[in-house]
Amino acid sequence: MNCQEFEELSGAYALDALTEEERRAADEHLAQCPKCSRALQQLRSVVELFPLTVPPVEPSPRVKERILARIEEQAQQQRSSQMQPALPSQAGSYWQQRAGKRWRWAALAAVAVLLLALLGGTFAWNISLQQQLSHLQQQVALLGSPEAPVVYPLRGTAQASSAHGEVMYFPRQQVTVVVVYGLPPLEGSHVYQGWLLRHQHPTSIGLLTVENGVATLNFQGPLTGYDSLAISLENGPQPSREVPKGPVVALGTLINSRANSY
Amino acid sequence: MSASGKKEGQGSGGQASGSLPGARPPHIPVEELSDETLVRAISLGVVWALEMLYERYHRLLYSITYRMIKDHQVAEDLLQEAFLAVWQNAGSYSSRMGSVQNWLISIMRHRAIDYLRRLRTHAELRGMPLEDAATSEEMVSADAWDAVWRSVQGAQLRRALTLLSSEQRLVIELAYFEGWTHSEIARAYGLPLGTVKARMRLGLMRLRSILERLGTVES
Ligand SMILES: [Zn+2]
Repeated sequence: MNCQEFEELSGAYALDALTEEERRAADEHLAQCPKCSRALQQLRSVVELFPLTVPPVEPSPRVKERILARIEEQAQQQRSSQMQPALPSQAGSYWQQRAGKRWRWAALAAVAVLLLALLGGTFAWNISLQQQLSHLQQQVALLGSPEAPVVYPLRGTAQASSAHGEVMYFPRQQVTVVVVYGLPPLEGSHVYQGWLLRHQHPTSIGLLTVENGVATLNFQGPLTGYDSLAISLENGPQPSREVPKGPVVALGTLINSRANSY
Repeated sequence: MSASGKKEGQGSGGQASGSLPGARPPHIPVEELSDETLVRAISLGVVWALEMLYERYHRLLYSITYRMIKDHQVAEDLLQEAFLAVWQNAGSYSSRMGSVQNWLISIMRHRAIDYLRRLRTHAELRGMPLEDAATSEEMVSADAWDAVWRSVQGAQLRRALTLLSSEQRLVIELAYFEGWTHSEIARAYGLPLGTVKARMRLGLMRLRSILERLGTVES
């Protein structure tokens, strides 16, 4: 495809009105032609406004429920298809179970690499090993990328044994996100409050927002220098000053993040 | 213990509880996390991030889909499929591909288009008369629109669409909202393919120049 041919169908391209083959040919041309890419962007920026002209319609709330149920279903399948349980599946969060699986994949992939090296590449490796390898590469790319969040698990204490969650620090945004599932429902003016601890000396990071049984808290800034993060149950409604006055309900260690969580 | 206590006393005298040395609390509400951050979290298996993205975009995506499909049952199934695809493929998103919103719209639209094209594979293509298209005004009537959606851009685009020729508006509408390919339109209306392609391109260019004049898009 040359520039003139692309120009002729650029409107159809922007409107998604091309057949698969035409689209592929056009993409090939675009990949090596900045001029046509710029021209296309002009048309696209108009097409991208079309959704604003559509009358708003709300889907049934069941759609969201079905999506979340399907995700849970898939997670269960993944769990049951794992070769061996590496983490106690009841205590761990979904995240941790995924993490456990990833770790095993990494081990498997490492074995595959070793085999390949030993057999000088003549080893007829199967598709699933290839997939595991490419998955591993993605993982490595992710870990190496400056955007990869650092994740620490949170666990409920004896006061709230069903609680579990994550502390995620996003380096690029410099945002830390705390999410806790399974905390007991709050009564009266009670609140959940987050604390960072350094040598057991607490610093408040504010109150958690509880919605649909999930408690979240976000703050800006790195976790450098802190040993752990704790969630306490306070009388509220104001956050407690200086130190937690109520029981600590969840606790996470902020050390050895990546080795622990991937 | 005493050492750290001393240090603390130095640094935080008079400060309100909740301040964090070396950081800036209080807190970014979870609602203010960027779309990109959410997609990143989804790619790592964080379910609430998908919920939040759903809250942000389900209405927009559903409205587009329903406008294309005109059937709630099917449109809801497609919306579900699209978000499951987001759940599985979030790792493939990169900001180089454009905004998260446009990425989502593209995922959604391609599903709707696939559905419509499959549906038409066996059905005979029959064109609607040009006069009907010109008077149906589905894209340009303002009555049905929720006030929330009367964004300046939307209103200006609707106005700009009325300034197109009905032929240009028809091919653009069939392509964008009905998922027709240019060759399907050519066949259904007995037009040369080149004419259909030209109407699409010239129609979009005309829209763009109108919107530039209105200041809706940057020139
Ligand atoms: Zn070109």
